[in-house]
Amino acid sequence: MLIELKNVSFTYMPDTPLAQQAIKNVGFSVRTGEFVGLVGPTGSGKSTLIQHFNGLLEPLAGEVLIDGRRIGSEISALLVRQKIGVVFQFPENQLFEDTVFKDVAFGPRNLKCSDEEIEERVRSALKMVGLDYFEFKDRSPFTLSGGEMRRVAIAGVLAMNPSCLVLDEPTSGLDSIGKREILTHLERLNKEHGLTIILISHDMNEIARMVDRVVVLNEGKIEFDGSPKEVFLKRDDLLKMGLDVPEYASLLIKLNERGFDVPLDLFELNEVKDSIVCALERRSR
Amino acid sequence: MIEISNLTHVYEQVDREIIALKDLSLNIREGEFVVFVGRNGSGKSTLAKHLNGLLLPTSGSVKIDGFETSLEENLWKIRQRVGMIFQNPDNQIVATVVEEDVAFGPENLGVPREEIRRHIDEALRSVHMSEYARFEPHLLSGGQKQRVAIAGVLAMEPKYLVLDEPTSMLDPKGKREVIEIIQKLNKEQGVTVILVTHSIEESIYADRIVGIGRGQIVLDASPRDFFGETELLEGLGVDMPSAALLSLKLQKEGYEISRALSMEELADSLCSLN
Repeated sequence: MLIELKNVSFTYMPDTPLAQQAIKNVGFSVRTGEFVGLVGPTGSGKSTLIQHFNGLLEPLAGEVLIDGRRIGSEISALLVRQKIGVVFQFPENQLFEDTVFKDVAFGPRNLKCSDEEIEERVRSALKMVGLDYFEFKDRSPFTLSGGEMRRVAIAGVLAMNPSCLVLDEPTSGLDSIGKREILTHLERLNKEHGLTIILISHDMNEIARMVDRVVVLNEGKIEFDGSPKEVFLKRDDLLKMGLDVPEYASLLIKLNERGFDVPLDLFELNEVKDSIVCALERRSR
Repeated sequence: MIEISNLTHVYEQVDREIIALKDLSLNIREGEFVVFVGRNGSGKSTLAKHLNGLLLPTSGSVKIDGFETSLEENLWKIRQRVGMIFQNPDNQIVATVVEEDVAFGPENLGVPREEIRRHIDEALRSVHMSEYARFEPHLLSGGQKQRVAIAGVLAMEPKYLVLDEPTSMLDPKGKREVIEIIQKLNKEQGVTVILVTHSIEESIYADRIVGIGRGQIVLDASPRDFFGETELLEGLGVDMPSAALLSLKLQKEGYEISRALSMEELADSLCSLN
């Protein structure tokens, strides 16, 4: 198990009148190579949860294991932060160097890597997010487009050679081309480089298309954990929590309510089209 | 009426100039619901910031009900008429109690005390936040905070409401809440709405969609005509609505259905097939 949370609870400002329990007795694990979607309404505890993955927060109760070793006592938080790379919301706000190269090199340089090693890591990290090394290395990050800036920020995390990448709403605020670029590269990182990915998103179309497994967090607890097909069948529960189902699923549900014999768990354009064609043919017979 | 004539905007940087808007002309009539779409960096937010004089033209002019934004003596009148809402609700809330935050605008306009009370109550009512008047803003959800920010603008009784990606940081419920309020303000209270967004679902309810690319207007049409221009959409970086894609696929299979913009519409037309 790459990441394992056992009965983890976390409270902000414990033992004060402002105490607020953000995570309640959460058990959760991620295997190497998985692509997991983490969804939940604002305030459900998603950000608190991911800060436990790399030791930014310590659980008040329970324990967090990385590769079977307990953070703090058996594996240092520093080492964990190399293994589990977290890309926070709007990561481009954290770019600060005057060239793309220096910005991506910041992590490996702090790890005291040699100059050759640093260059190698920067090259491969930029390649992983689809930015040409020679075209981009000397440019100022601040002259790039929104999508490019965000990919530079992700490359900065990849340059640490993590085995897992956790991304908090990596496509929010980007136009549809910028979104597609980020998602395509995430898919490749997972499929071709075997990187474990945990993706937080409010866009259920994106979640349904990308992930193998959806974990739904609500009020600090895990409400559902399963394949997109299983989880998005819980439409009424999801709506009650303030979430949604993918657009195509919402169409199939509407058609089903109006007497069409269509399956409810399809999210891909051609699958959906085929199922509607089948249902229409059956009706006309 | 908002009249934008031959507007050019140049951002001066240390080593170069960036032309964000180029000779752009556009009129927005009272009561309209207009959406601006385009890629990151296309100039749509720059254009939005011209509508209440946050940015001033490098050349050309922007007139709000006849008042030119480039004349300093007009700025108060313009900012009272044109309210602005931005992406992040946390950056727009200044007070520690909801109703005090809403009062901030009218207080600065010198509205008499008794009238301020009325303005606050009406503004909070129109965003469905009356019962939260005495709440501390940090206890609210993102969607609620954004609605408080909208109330703060409404308390100044603007004719025009400009919203720059107001839902991009919100969860699905927050997005729905804010979009419903925006539609209601336009339809029931006659507020002119200018919405900058990347969301296709949000743009299909507009009267007009203005597609902006490289600082110029590429396409200005009703949602139905706009999403019919397949080739231009590609260049604008705008996806077709999923419902439209699926209806095209079904048309190719030989089914006689019209191009739908929303899933509701598509479900209706499929049901009426037989």
